[in-house]
Amino acid sequence: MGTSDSRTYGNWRKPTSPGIFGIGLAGTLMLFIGSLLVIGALFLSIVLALGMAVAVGLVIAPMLIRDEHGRNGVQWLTATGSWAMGVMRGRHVYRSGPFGRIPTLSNVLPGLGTPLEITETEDAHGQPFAIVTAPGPWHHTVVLDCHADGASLVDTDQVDTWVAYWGDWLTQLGHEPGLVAASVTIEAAPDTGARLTREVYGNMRQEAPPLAREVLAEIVQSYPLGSATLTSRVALTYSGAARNTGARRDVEAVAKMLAARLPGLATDLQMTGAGPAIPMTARELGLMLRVAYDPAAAEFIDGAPDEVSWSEVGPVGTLETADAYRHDTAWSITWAMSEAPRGEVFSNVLNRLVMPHPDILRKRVTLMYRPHDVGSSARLVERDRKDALFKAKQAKLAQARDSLAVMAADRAAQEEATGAGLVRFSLYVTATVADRDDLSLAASAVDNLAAASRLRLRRVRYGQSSAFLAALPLGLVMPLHLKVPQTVRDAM
Amino acid sequence: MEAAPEWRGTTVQVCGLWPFGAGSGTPVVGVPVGRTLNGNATLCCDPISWFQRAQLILNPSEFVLGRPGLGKSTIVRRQALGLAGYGVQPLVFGDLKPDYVDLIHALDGQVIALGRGRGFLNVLDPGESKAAAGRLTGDARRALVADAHGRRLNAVASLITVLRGVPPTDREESILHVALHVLDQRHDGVPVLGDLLKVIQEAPDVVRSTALDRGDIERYHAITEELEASLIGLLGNGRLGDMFSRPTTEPMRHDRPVCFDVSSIDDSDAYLQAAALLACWSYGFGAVSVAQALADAGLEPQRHYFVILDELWRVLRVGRGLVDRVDALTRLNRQRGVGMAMITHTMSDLLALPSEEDRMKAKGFVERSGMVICGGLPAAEMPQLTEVVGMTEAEQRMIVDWSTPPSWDLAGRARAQPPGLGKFMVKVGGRPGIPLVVRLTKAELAINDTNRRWTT
Repeated sequence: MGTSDSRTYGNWRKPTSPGIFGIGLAGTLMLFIGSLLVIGALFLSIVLALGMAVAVGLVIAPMLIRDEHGRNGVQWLTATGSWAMGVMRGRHVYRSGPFGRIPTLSNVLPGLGTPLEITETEDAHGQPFAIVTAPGPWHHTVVLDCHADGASLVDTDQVDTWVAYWGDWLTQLGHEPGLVAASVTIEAAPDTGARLTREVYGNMRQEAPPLAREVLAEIVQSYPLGSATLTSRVALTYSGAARNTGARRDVEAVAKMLAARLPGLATDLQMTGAGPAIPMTARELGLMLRVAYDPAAAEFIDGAPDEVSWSEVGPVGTLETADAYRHDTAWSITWAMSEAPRGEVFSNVLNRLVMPHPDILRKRVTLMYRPHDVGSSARLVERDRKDALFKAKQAKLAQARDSLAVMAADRAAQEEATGAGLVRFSLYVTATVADRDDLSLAASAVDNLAAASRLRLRRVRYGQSSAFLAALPLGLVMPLHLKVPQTVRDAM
Repeated sequence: MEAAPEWRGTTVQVCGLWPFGAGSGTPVVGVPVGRTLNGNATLCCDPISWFQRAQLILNPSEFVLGRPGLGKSTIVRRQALGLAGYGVQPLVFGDLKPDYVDLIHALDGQVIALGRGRGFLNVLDPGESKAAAGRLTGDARRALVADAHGRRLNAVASLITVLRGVPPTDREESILHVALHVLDQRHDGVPVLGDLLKVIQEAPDVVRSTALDRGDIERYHAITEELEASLIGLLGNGRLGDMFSRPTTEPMRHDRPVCFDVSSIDDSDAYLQAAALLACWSYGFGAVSVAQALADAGLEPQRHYFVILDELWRVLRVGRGLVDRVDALTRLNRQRGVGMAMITHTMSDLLALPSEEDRMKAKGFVERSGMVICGGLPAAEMPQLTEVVGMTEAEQRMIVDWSTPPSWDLAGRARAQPPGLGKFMVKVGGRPGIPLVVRLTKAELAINDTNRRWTT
């Protein structure tokens, strides 16, 4: 891979709203109205007009300031403000169980995870699978457990085919009725050896020769040391909310729809290099969450065959600080992608980011996709093209960057017209370590990995607990869980 | 909390951020054999578990290829050892080195020594099938008897093939077939080859009519002359000696690990080696099918076997027609509970056969195997191998790299290890290969001299 004739990918862009000075549609409108007000005030009093101009300037100014990650001042102010409010109310601390603030016998998920409910049902082949329901936006998520073969020993042709099918699969998501988001989570974790122990001791015979028993016992002891396991999970989130036709769908209706559609989606997923995809059961999901919050429990949980109650999967206690998250036996940091890989990239660009790293105990990389439906994709690429043209014409001297943007927008419009879908994507990385002192080591490791993958990550500030949840394969679609509506944020 | 910034692109571009580049690892099912080279995870792999429990392969067999000295027998020994722990009996049908004798001894198994003047294996010995047939009824009984009969016929024909260099003719096989039936009716106890020769010489009517002598005894003698000569050759005066014409010295048991030790046969005695291997396979598979028939009838517990056919190339090299015999034997693994490991050095071993159809059949051994395990192989092997196994360029490169010799050790200290020592790639169908390195445990190091070079 990586030879000069390999297929490359790129041409993604951050959706922007048209507006002058890069302050977006809302900012431009505000500036416009503000100017009118100032002019109006001029007729009354010059002092009033000056005061008003300063006020408008104060409102607009934060929008003009952008940091290296492309966030503007308004975003920073709201985030910091709401965090300060949260800390004042003690929202950053979570205690559950008999010794919690409100003593109960359960350990539910903290924060956004608390209201999540789980239902187990069966697919068309009679295999049980679980649906996680987020009652707020009325989202239903099913999680598929995949076993990827990996690309390390595969010919470029095969990888290109897989990647092309992955593109097809993403396109198909845009046609999937009611689907709001899909995510892929690759988790690297140390091998506890429990699976091996279970395999060996579960099959060993009582009457086995002593030598065989001795050798197998030694293997179980020595082999798992230092090795890592990688799991890939694909979460599909469907909306049960009322659409143009029909009423709001409850879990049963969604389960019925999924039971019919899931086997097909899973089969198609196999063509993308994800390997066989099997829907996860409530028990598997529960164990996964339990271990995510309490990695030290992995060792004994890995072998536990019994049921896991949904109300027991959460942590006992968590403490959120501005840029780290303490949960039960571990510390975590979550990053969000602030810039997608620049320029043209090869399909192996994310490999190093998802591979296990010795400095990080457990690492999750989550890619969240939100497809645009077919109708709005066509409108959006067309609008992008117009915006790019508008921007290019605005500048007196045609800037190279603008003409490139026009070309890129043209290309996207062409691809859309020939059948590709349009998809929004974001990326989260969570690194978990056992000790607070290891956090800085893990942070620099992630920085290096991000650089190797040519993307820029921003450590989530004032929102670690939610970001932690977002990076779990639970199908929490963050943009739809926020207080500020999507349209307003888009206009910023 | 604010949402992570989102980016937007068409799906033909966004798919370039492909998340499945790193493999998820392999199912942990089977005997742990080593650790993968790309991730250091424990790899569990053996043909029986992968067929039976994991359902990863379509039949419980494996083909192991690799240059000598890189540890082919070591990985198979590990599988045998682990499977013994899982209640599967390892059976080594013909150990030439000996690679497996120590292991089978250590597993408290039965080691049957064969060789000139050391031990005998009567090819007409039905083993336990006679006694077993007495415990069965109806179809099961008929099937077992017919099976034993066919196996003996095959064994005699194979020996004649080794002796002559060409297989017996159709007519001769028919004569042998009928003569064996006559022998069963006339003879009490276990017959030997001398008794079979006697039957043919006595020319009973059924045999004569099978030989199509048209009532002319002279014609009969002319037809059976070659056959007689071959059988006399097998009685101790031919180049195969008397190993197969005397009563079996130690009958094989079907409830514990077994190894036929033929290491005392000299390497220059290629024909005897091949004949011994064939006789062991025939006899051994006979014992296995007896055990299966008894288990099917509910008379004994269901036993599983892991059959190891090492040094396949020696047998194939000896002469025409033996490929068919091997083919017939290897197809037996479809029976429930018999896993097989076939071991040879290179694909060239299989493709160096003189006749085209034999080459195709030999290739079929590899094609039919549930999985192929490759050690280091020379680059010249790759075209032939990829024809059958379908390897990617990266995989081929890796396997060729493993076959490079160790560097010169100028300091004269410990011997430098070849780079491919203990390294193998497991290929199942078109799926990407899993490269692994076998790591031996202390207990294993203790039982085998050839492993002294290994370090944990």
